[in-house]
Amino acid sequence: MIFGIRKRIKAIKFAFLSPNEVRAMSATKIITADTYDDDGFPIEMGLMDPRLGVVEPGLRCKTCGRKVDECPGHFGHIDLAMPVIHVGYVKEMKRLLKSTCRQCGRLLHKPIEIPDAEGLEDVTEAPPEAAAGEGDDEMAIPVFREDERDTAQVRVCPHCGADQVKITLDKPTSFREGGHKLTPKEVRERLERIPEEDLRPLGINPDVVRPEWMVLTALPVPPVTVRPSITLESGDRSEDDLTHKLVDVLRINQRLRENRDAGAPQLIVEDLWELLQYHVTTYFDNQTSGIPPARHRSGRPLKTLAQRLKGKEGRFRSNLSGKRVNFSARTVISPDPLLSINEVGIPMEVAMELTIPIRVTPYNTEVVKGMVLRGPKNYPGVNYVIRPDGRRIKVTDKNAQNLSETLETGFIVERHLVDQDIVLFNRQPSLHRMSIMAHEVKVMPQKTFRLNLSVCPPYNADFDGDEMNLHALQSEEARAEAKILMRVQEHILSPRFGGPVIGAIHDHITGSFMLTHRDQRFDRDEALFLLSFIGTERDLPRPAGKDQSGKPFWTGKQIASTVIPRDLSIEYKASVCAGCEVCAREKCDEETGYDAYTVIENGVLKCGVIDEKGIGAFKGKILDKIVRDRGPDEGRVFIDNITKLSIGTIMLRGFTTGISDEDIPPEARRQIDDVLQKARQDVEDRVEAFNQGLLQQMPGRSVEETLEVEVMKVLGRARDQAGNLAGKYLGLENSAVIMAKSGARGSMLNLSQMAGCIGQQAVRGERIHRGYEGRTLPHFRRRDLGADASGFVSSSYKSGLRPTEFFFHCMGGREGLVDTAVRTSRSGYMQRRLINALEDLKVTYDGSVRNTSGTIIQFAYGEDGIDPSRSVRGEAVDVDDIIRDVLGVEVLEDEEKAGFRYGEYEADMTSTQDEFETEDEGGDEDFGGD
Amino acid sequence: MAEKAQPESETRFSVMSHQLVPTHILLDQKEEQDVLARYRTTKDALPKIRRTDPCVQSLEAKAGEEIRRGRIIKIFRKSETAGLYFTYRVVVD
Ligand SMILES: [Mg+2]
Ligand SMILES: [Zn+2]
Ligand SMILES: [Zn+2]
Ligand SMILES: [Zn+2]
Repeated sequence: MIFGIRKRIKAIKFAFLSPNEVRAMSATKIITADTYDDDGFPIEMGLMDPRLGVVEPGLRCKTCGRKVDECPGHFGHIDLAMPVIHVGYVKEMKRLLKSTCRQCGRLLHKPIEIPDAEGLEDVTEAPPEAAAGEGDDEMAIPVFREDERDTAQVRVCPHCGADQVKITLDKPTSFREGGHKLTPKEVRERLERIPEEDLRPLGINPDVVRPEWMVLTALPVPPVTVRPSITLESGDRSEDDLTHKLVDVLRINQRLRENRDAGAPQLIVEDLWELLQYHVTTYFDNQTSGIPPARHRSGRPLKTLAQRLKGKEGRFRSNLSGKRVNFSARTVISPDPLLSINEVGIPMEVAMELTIPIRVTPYNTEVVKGMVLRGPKNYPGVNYVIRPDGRRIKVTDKNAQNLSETLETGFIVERHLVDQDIVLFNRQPSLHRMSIMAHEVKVMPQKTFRLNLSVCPPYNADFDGDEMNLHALQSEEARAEAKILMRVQEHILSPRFGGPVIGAIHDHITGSFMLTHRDQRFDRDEALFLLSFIGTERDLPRPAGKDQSGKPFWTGKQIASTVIPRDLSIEYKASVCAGCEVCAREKCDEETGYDAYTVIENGVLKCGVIDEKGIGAFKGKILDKIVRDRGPDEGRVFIDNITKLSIGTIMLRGFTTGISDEDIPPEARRQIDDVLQKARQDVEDRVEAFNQGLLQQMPGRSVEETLEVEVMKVLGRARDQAGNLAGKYLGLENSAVIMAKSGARGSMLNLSQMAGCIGQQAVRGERIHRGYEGRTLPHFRRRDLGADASGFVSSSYKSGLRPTEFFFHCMGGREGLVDTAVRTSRSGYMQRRLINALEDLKVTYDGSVRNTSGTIIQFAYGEDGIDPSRSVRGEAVDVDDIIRDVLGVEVLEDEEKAGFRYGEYEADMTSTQDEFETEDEGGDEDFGGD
Repeated sequence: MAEKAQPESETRFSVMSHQLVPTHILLDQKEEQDVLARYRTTKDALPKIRRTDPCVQSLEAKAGEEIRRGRIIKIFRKSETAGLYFTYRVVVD
């Protein structure tokens, strides 16, 4: 409508080829199984008959007179001596045979069930030529489809009174009526008897299809272009699998005809007939269940028609829905914290293989000539030169000099990739748009693709062997588009929840925590060392003060402030915040030692740490604010700089963790054991009360359920207490705790499970009950409902588990693994279907969502017309922020009350993220994948 | 098929007054043209609503005239994101 005339598909018709059509479209009848004569020429009326098309260059087609690549190839046909059933239609044939009379061929309908006049009218009337007018929608014509179940019980034909016999399908291609086997010929005769007027109710359009065509009497032979023979180096010809199969068909067909005509015994004819059926069946589908696949001499199963189309490697999925592409590269990825998030490091080998076409102009002739002169082997050189007449010339060391001299305006030169070229970078599975982003090339030594760690989250990449793909863009438009729309920095804010998906992770967060926590001091050398990570154009700020010996020092907060934009102001509670009842705010440092209240005023970090809540992927508030208020350029610079500073700090100060980080004093161990022992006793008491029937039943629950709930509660509390006890001895001087509290990696729960107690193992959300009769393991007494017998693990990971505990832990762990495996495959399939349904939708310039035919799906995108990645927690405008900017008054964010919309998402995000990471990593080692 | 809508009486359940049923309004000629002009589109690109839809029937009863196919109905509904969202549907048979 908007773009002028468009053609619309009005209908698609499916029909069978009739034997007459097969013969009519055939260029020749094929009668001999021999392909070539002794001189190597194709035999007339053989499978390689020259009338079937040309495959050899230089020759012309005998049918259409065209050359290779111009002639589309032409079908031939084989006249089958006896009819044969088409495997693809056995189900349909079974349905028809069951629904119609064995004698007269009419529909087996009890008179009462024959569709009433109105229904018949609907189906017999030709589709009304719908007057295409405004607001006219064509409703599908209801097709009355006969269900064989309705007719299966009919014993006597209501039309001719003939008795009916039950028909069964003997897989794959033979029908049985009672004890008698129906030959294809008989099947065909029966199908022939079905009158036209009974076909429509059966869902068949008699104008284009006759059911007896499902039994083949003529077999189309595909053109040679579909099954080309290959000539090996030895000079031998090797034929396509399809040709092999057709040879089999021809051979048996021939023998069958001879035997039949010679009046051979019925048995022999039947055997040959069945053999012909086998060959035709496997010609269509060599994986038909119930029959052995036809094999090559070497034992390899033949790839016949269905195998060419089916499955992941079939024509549809690997040649039509997806294709191999040129100008792409794939290799293992590894990290490089010093690259910008916009960059990608590529190996020299890749840079010299992938090329970009450059048009020679008067302005670049000299430069391009230089590149051509270097040839394909000296970087940065040229692999191909395309002349204005379209001829591609491969550049070699020999012709480089020559080509370089003949180069003129109008030539196109395919030069190697160089730094700053725009390429697309992709990691599968490509689940969201951030799975393919545009990067700037940086050519590097070594053989991996290098990327900044901050872009790992959107790609969901890690470096345990992951590989990624890279595509060199081939046109100026593509490069411009990619640079504007697909560059990494344009994707810092996620369209899913409006927060950053690119940001600091792991050591970045540890490092920036170490840099900014409390009063870190650095001497001149150290300060310069840190600043050197972010470039040399920066002046060292004035020292914060002098230490006792009179040496000047700089604080970590001061150094961190150098990368914060000058006029940025923000206040929030950091990840380390303990969630005190009354927040000490700026005094947090003095009162709790956590330094968890972060205040940045005009680009100066006044107090608090910068941790996950500040710069982390998914959570970073500073990041969020910078990108939102100042745009992706500043956002990218900030991420690059703050992460480099963090890496510098962690290098300078050193950071390590080990199992000794979970050491707790014997005193604490005793207390924990005490708590666990008490809990165990408590459970014991409750079980005792339950056994004596003294347990107070909870409303809405049975006594058993009440016991379970209470026991779970007691044990849960015990685990928490053990965790807290352990946690008391794990302070911020502990590396593992730093990582957990700053949000870098791991959680306090992980630590308390290592140091204190692992806790209750659950299967299907309940304590473990399954196993032997009345008990979970033979180590326990029957009907023992105590803590230990139902999967409570009181040991810690560090102390190690007792055998029974280990077993229970495996049960719980397995459930988790199975769960994720099932969930990922299911959600993957769901996502694929969703994408297929929505892929053609786009937001148009007027804000409405439409599909490719212009139909309006939504009058305003998201009903509010707001791009979530430009919104502030779902709102178009951040009123609080504006008030703060204009009046200088902080509107205190009440996170609980406001619901903190994207907070919900981030919690959601990280939890799934964690699940995937921890569990995938564990599993992957087993399977050797990445 | 097209049953004649009964006039809404107190005894009959009224769809339109149910709280989960959004407000439907029948547009006149002029309003229709405005909508089509605003979205630069034609009626066949709009979402559809059946003439047999209870809301259309109810509108028909209220208007006292037959709502032919091709008429446009404006629907107001509550939206989680926008507060109020409206959509247009073209009547089809
Ligand atoms: Mg991996
Ligand atoms: Zn030809
Ligand atoms: Zn009959
Ligand atoms: Zn606090």
